[in-house]
Amino acid sequence: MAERTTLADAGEIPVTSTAKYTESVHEDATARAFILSSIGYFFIVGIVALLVAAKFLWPSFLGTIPMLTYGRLRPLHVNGMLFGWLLAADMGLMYYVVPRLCGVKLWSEKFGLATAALWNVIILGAVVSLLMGWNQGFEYGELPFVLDVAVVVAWIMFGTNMFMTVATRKYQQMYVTLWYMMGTVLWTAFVYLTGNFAALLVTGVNQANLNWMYVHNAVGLIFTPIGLAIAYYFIPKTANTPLHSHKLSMVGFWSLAFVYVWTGAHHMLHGPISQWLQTIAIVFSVMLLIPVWAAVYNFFATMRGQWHQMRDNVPIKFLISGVVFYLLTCFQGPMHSLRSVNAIVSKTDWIPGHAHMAVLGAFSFFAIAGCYYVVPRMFKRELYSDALANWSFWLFLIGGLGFFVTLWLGGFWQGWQWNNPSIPFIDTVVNLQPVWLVRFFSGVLMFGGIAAFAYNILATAIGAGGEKATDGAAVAA
Amino acid sequence: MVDHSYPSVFFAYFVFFLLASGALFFFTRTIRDGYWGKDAEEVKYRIFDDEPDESKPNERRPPNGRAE
Repeated sequence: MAERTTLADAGEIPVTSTAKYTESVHEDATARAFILSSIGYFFIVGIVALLVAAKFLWPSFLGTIPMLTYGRLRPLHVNGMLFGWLLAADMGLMYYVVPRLCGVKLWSEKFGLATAALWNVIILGAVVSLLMGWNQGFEYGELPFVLDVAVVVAWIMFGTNMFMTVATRKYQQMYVTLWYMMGTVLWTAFVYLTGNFAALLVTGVNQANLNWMYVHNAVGLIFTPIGLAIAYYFIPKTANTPLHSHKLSMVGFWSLAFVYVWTGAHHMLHGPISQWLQTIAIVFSVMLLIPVWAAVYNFFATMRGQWHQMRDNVPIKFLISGVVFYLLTCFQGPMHSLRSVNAIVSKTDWIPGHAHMAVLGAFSFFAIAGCYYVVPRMFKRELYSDALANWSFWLFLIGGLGFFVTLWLGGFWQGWQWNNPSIPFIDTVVNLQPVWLVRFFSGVLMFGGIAAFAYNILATAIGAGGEKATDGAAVAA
Repeated sequence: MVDHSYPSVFFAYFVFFLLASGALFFFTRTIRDGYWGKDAEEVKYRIFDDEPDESKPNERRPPNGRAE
């Protein structure tokens, strides 16, 4: 493509220029509050994750203290990672990105800070209630009713601030990140209300169907669009090169909007729901490859001529690894929805492997990259340690690969055993110990990544490295 | 427990109708607003020009236009 060029090639001011971030008119107070608190939860809930993984290997670990049993810790891990870390980090990044894309200040920093305060109350309330066993009993919908209401209020506050900022934007045409952000606000409202309120009003198989619709769309219509919003902003930004095709990004957005919501029932294949509903879920699950490939191709094509940045640009390492994991997990999803594959892997450890590849490998990698990019700019300092950031990447990557691949293969192994009636169930549990051993040590590596990431960000925020001269290029990587 | 499957299903149809209508409306608006036209790629360069001009805060720019 003849006109294809980077801004650096064109001689414009590089985005990493010191002037660009020391003279910012953005306050970023809300973004700081969300991002720093989310990283704190990432660290704490990472410890809980290790405890949960250890219980697979040593079931009597931590004894019979109710608060430390698997049934209490596992929902805390899931909700803590989803809402305490990832969604909060994503919201913080949106508070940073949206005003900049709109060319205006955030509509209300005070309102944003109030949202951050309420969000922290919700997460702390979730920690107490889930450890106490106050649990609604729905997958991903464990939070008690009163906290569900608080989440809705906080989400309305977040959505109001975002939409009001967009409403005062300087440009009529909106970059694709804004489209995904607005989609996330609307879809989350619909998905969350369905999974946490509507599901209470029905019974039996209808309830299970609604619950799986919520669980699948929590990933597909909450974390996917906001994750892609982040990737579409930070890949061009950190690589300092324009997106390959904005038209293609819009194809991806609209195809995701029309396809994703129908897929949840593929978790109930071979179950007591009508065949037509199962078939619809299968067809739409396979059609997911359209929005996925539209996004992944666009990201790879954006990197054309820029792959050398993978050597020493840590945010790019996270972002591109996240794109690869996104492609892999979105290949797993449609395959899992096929009746023949589903008969093997459904309800096995393949499912948490798949979910972790999406939520950790893809969307958390995007969020981590975003944090590494924005925190030095928000605090107007260099990142505390580039070397530590690089360590965090490799710990996440190696630990993540160990986790995803082991559970991917282990899930098939487990499913084949379950499909063999001559193998007693308890034997299938015992046989999976080697898989869980790798899972645990992979978790240790990933927790090392979390610790390195959290320490680096905290040290940057408090200025532990001193006020170094802020050379733009150093901040970028 | 009282089962409200049928009312909730009808409510779900209603919500789907609302969302689908909204999606169709905004999708057709993207055509009018030039997201598929010859200037559609202009917007992707704005990402590198993301600090607002303080002299005219929160002022709308011309349709499809970059900062003047």
